[in-house]
Amino acid sequence: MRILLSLLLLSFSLSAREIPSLSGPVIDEAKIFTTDQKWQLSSVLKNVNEKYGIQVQVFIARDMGGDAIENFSIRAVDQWKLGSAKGDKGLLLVMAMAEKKIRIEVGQGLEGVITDAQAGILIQSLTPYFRRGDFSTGILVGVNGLLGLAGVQTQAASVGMNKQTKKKPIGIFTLSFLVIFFIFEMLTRRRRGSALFYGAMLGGGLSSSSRSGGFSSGGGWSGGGGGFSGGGASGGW
Amino acid sequence: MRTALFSIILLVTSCGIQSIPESKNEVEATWAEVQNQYKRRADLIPNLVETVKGYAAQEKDTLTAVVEARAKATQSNISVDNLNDQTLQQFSKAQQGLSSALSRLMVVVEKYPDLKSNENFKQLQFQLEGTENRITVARNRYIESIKNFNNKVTVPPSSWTNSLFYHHSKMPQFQVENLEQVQDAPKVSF
Repeated sequence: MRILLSLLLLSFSLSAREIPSLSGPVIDEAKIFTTDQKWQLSSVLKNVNEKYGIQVQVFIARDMGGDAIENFSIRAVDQWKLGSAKGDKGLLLVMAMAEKKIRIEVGQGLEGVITDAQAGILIQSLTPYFRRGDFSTGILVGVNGLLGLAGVQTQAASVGMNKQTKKKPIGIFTLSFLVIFFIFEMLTRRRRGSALFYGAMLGGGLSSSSRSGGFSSGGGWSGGGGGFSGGGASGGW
Repeated sequence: MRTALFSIILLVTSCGIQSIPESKNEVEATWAEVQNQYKRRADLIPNLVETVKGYAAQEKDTLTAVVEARAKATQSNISVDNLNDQTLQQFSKAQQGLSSALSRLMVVVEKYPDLKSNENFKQLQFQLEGTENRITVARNRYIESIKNFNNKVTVPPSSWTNSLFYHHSKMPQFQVENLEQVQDAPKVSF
């Protein structure tokens, strides 16, 4: 009986896709960005967070494990709590590659400046890029659009980007973590057949390496208790 | 002496003396959010009806149904103190009535390509979709807070504290939309 129950629990926990830990401003499970691109975008978003108190998160998921994008997205922001508890200025751009779905989730503090309609129109303008398979451009246009709506001068963001890129792009620590987990994943993939596991391990590796100094500037990246109430828009391609 | 004090504090903090009022407040906050989001939806409707009228005035029946359902839904606000199984069911029914009237309208709208490409209508559609999602989120949070509160007032040891000091009874939970209304859903025929 107990075995049956634990089996049931196991199957349940496998069916719902877990949200990875918050390893950085860009969580790219589908490897859309090169390491360099990811680093650049991350430092822009870190800069924006420091200067404007607006925490933008990009999350490219391989799949949602049968979840709906709205549910998946609210689960992610409930876990991460993007934005400060006072300002609630968090933004999430989430994509699910397998399901071809995208959503922008808007924090309570930004609902006034980014209405559901504006988010929806922005998403509609991105889908042509995705249909063409040009995901990195589409995402950059999306992030740019969000920053514009939120009142961040993109010039400031790109100036910050140049300044940041002079620094060492990625620590040797992070790199070794990546290599270790990649090998680990290769070895375990056949038996476990679990891409989720890889994602979680990778996330964990990145965040622990950033604590030990792998990422150079800006320190860690964590949510500040920002609240979300389901504002934003969804779309697909 | 110090350990005695410490164990008393520990006992007091885990027995619900603090957490029962806290979870009651949580219920109040989540219920306010549920009503807030339903109101937000109701506020969008006059504008939506006006826009649709401009292109599809002949769909008078569907439009009137939406306006009437909205009127019913906005009348049905309940304060948290009056929340019980019956009032919650009435509230749900009124809101569900508006939901199905709206979805019928959205089916009808498919026949009017000019309307569908109207910028104002597109925006309203996004706002409506967004609001429906907010309602789902708010309802889920209410369900969660009610579950938490009901556990506190019915499961020992905090239930003992409840019966000694607070005398709260269980709060009503949202039910899965009843079957009649599901059967009432608009049929698409070709």
